[in-house]
Amino acid sequence: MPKIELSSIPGLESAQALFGAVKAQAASYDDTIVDIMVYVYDTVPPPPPPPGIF
Amino acid sequence: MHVHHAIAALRADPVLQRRRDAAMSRALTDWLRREPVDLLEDCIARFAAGADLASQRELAMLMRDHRAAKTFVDGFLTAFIAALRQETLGEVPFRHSSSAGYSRLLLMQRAGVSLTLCAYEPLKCAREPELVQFADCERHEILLNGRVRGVFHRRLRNDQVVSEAREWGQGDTIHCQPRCESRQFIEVGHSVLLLQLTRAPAHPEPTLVYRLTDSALIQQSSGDKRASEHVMALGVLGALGHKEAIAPMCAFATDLVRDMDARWEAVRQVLALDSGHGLTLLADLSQRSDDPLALPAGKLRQDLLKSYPALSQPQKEPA
Repeated sequence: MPKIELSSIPGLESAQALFGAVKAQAASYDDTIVDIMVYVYDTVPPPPPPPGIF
Repeated sequence: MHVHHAIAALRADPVLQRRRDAAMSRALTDWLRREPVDLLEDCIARFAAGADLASQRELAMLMRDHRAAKTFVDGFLTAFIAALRQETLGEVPFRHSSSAGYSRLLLMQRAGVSLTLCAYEPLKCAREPELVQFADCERHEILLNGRVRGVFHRRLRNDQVVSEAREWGQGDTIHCQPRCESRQFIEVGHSVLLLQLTRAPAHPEPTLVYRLTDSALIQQSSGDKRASEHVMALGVLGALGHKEAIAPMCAFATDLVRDMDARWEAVRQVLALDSGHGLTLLADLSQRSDDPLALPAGKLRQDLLKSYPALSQPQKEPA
């Protein structure tokens, strides 16, 4: 079967940009997104602490 | 690399680390038990479940009454500053972020509701806004101190944006309705500290960006963080090139509960990974009468069959 390049497959006509995508900062302060993402922490939580020392 | 001797000592000593963490969790527990913090958590839970702000007495008071808001924030700052004096390398256990002139600390969060402490510092050059963003997020704010010049925008029913220059000072409140009201700060005289309460639905509508000069809609971005995470995850799965990902991606693409953009991304990734499976998926989608992807799937299938005649030939079974 032929290989289809991902870039040649169109998106939906109604396609939206990803969450939080901005073309340009709208005003003096970059405060438009109210969500705080801690991406690395959410995806890879820190390992449990070492076994007790007491 | 130079490491401060206090940090080096902390790294080398688990007892010190535990003492530090215990001091910060103690500060957190003490703060959460204080009045009205203990009641606010329940108010926020009910607000997240859909209750009116006015019906949540303590929370409504906090967002309306300058003295109540100031007492609340003072209580928070006192608790954690005392803990930080005791443990100078302590980590305040709240999510935070900062960008030029703007920092914030997420104090409480439940479902789509967040209570955030925001600080604005004066910037060297104030920028007059050219764009305005309307997000599917209800927003209530109260200024604890400082003074700020800005603009309040309204999106009318005919999609025209009306802007009004405003000045806000200590004790002033700002309320923005989702997708039709927005505010922008342009110039901060002295540092501004404000308490912000936001509520977003479980599946927010797209965020709209308008140009102020002619009210032209120039961008729509997803308001749903989870859906965008799925789009990115599908991109990673596709880039890894594992054929094992095809079946779960096909299941995702046909699941009507999922976000439409994320489902279409699954279709694209399956097609790029294996055109045969992709074509079968497109045929399946295009025959579903209740699926908004049926039309685009049917159209893409026809386009692909035209561009790649080999796709229409029957597939040989592997020996």
